Parts: sequence; C-alpha cells; structure tokens
Amino acid sequence: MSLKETLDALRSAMTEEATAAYAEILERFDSQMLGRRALKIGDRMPEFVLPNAEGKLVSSAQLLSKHSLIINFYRGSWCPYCSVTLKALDSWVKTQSERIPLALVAISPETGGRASEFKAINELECEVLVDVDNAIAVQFGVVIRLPKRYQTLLLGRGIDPKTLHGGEGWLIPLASTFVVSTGGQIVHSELHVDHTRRTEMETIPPVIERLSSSV
Amino acid sequence: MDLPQISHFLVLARLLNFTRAAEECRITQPAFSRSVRRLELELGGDLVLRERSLTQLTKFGQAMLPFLEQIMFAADAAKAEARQFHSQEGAPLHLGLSPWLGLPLVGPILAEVVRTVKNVEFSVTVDKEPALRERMLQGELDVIFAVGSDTAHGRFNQWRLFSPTTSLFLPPGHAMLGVDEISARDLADATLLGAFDADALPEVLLAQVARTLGRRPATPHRAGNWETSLQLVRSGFGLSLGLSCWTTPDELVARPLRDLELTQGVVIETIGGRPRSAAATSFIKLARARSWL
Repeated sequence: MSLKETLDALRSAMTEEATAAYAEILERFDSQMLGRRALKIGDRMPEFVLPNAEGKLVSSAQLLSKHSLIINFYRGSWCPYCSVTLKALDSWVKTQSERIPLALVAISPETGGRASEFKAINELECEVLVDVDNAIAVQFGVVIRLPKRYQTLLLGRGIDPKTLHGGEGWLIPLASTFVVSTGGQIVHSELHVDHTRRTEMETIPPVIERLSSSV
Repeated sequence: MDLPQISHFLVLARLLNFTRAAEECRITQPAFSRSVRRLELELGGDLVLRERSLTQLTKFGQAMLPFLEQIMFAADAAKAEARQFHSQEGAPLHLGLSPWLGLPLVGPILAEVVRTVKNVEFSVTVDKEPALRERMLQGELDVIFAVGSDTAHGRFNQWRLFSPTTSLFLPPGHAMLGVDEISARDLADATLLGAFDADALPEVLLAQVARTLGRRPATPHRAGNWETSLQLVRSGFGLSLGLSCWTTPDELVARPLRDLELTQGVVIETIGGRPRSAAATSFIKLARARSWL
C-alpha cells in the first residue's frame, strides 16, 4: 500500500469522537497564519543538541557535518498518521543513503523513554530525538496547542500530558517536515495542519534530487 | 506559535499595559496587539481582558502563562546549550543527590554529559533532601536528584522520573532466601537496618512494615546512606529495605518486596526560571527523555 492509501484507510476508520476532534483542528488552525510563523526556505536552521532514543546527545552540527537532513516533527507516538509517514520516509531514505549523504531525523516532545518505544515499534532506523519542552520546535515556529476535543480524546485513551511531556500545557509540534542542506539552510518546508493528508513522499524526493545534483 | 509572539505575551503579563509592553518590545502598539491577538487565536482563548483602564490576564491567560514561560525558558536554554558546542568556557554542573539513590543511577547520564558537552566541570553533593533544596536556593546546586512526593514547593520545578519498586537486601545463605517474593509479614523476626530520620527511605518502608505487623521490627543499627546500609548487610548486622534500582553488590542478594509501595517517586528538581549552564540543561534533558524502568 502506498502512503496515501494507508493514510486514507486510517482516516476512513476514524471513530466519531476522533472525527469531531479532527474537525476542530481543521477549523481552528489556519495554515497561512501558521505558515507565517514557521521557518521558511532560505532561513537558517536553529542549532540544537537533543537526547536521542538511545539516551545519547545528538547535535545538529554533528549531523550536518555528514548529511543533508530531513527533519520531521511528529505530533506524538499516539498519532498513527505521523507513524506511517515517518515509516515511509525512513524506508525511502534507506534506499537513497548509498547514493546521497542524507539523514532523516524525527523529533517530538515526548519524554520518559517514549522515543525509544516509538522507534522500536515502528522499526525506524532514523534518529528519533526528544525535544524536551518543545525548545527546538518553537524555534522552528511549529508549536501548537492541541484543541480541547483532541485533549479529551487522548485523555480517554489514557494518554496524559503530564507523563507524556512533563507538563499539562498540551503543546505539541504541528506535523511538519523540513529539508536542511549541509550548510544549515532550509531548502524545503511543509506544514500539515491536516495531519491525515501528507505530501512528503511526493515533495521530498525531487527536493533531495535537486539538492544532490547542485552539490 | 513562535518566540516573538510568546515574548510579547510574557512582557504584557508582567507590565499589564499594552502601551508600555509595546514600547519595551520596540514595536508599534497595533503590531503588538495583533501579535497577542494571533497568539490568542492559536491557543484557542482570550489571554487578556482588555478594559479601558485595566489590562488583566484572564483565567485562561493565567493558566497558559507558566507553559509559555517554560517554553521560552527552554528555548533560551537550548540556544545556550548549542553555543557551548563552539565555546571555550567551562560548563559547570552541580548535582545534589539523595543519600538513598546513589551515583550508579545517574552515572550513565553524567558520562554522556561529559562525553558531549565541552569543558564540563561537575560536582556531586550527597545530602538529605531538605538540605539539598536549601543549597539549591543558595545557588550552590543546579539540579537535585531525589526521592520526593509530587507536592510543588514554591520556586522548585519538579519532574517525576519513575516510581521505584522496593526490595529487601540479604546476605548469601540467609534463611529468607527460600522465599521468592517477600512481604511485610515475613519480616516479623528479621533484624532490619534503620536510618536517622523519619523521612529517610528505609524509615518510610519500616513504618509500613510496622503498620502491617502492629509493631516495629528489631532495628538496633542504623545507616545514613544506601551504600553503608548494604555494607552493614554484608557484615551481617541486619537486612536492608531499599529500592530495586540500587546496584546490588556481588555478595548480596535482592528480593522484591511484595506489599511495600512508595507513594514517592524518583524526581529531579531545579529552581524555576533560573538560568543554568549547558551541562545542567543537557543533564536535565537526558534525565527526562529516557525511560528509567
């Protein structure tokens, strides 16, 4: 199944409660307004040092010294749309890495070892980084507050922000993907207010192709 | 949301005056008002009550304030942490450690901080929790790694890392080794090791045993920290109640305690809003990011 088919299948299987929560997200957030906040093509990526799923500290300087980066902010381990998108990106990057110095980096604010669980469950090979308190996501301009219905939906599934993020602010990154050149410059950015419809598998390969041919 | 928006709101929350807040942020008042309004739209509620003579935070504004302060603080700390990668300056880390937790628990994190952060200079102070908190207030410590309840105390930020399980530590060949899982009732005739304060971990567990038995078991000897307690077990002075996460020396055996549960958790604490070194930021992030179980 293609990523699109998998996402479509997930969306059509949404419960009534999830559909209402999803509708509230689409109604609340305006992609144009959020787009103005986020880093854009030509901006420099903020430098970061973050713990990875293996409990090591990873710096953006180290990553960029070897690769161009695809940076994917995922909403949380509870978001199936984020998982399938990341899995698709991860498999694709694996097929390219022999040819192009390229690395995928997945980032979310989930603490308490969830990055490591998420990586194992989804059999990801990419770095999964823990952005404690959204310190990096806010510099990318992609932090949102999960609306009320979605909060209730997650609480009903036993997902508690206090244990998940170490705070009850319900602040999470918008599902978004950036491509960063080895020079640290953003060459592609996409924000997905509608986290169920993703374009990464169509947009990212040509961006990487252009990036590798310009080197 | 982005950092300028958040900083605008934080200045407004401090000054409670649109004109002065806009001046401090060096933007025009219409632009300032728009910025706050957009943040309200994004967060999904009014943060500020706009009345002619009075600007006040709404209930929602008051509720969101600590989270927005936290994210601002985290972003500033992260920038300082990234700068340390190119810096020649020392990165101090003054860690306070409960006598009942022990260095092996935090060792891997300290090692990772030393491996990656340039010019780290760390110190470890072992003391009782109230003394550690006092020293942190005095500015002598950056982070405390302790056993604590979830009560918030004033200026301290606290994160629960995990809820530890309890064990009984015995010497080899002890008669109770035949029992797989030990309960408080099995301890009626045991000689156990005490501690010095009622809130020290072994004493908290002893109080639970005493409640089950209707009397306190024999505790002629006392220790002031986990390592001494285990040494006393090794020397045959008694058995030690403790945490399953203690590193068991080769000569000793640990058995899970079935019905002794701690309501307290293993926590890290810092002083809210106080700037800290890159090493301290990395330490806290590593501690919060990982699983402790």
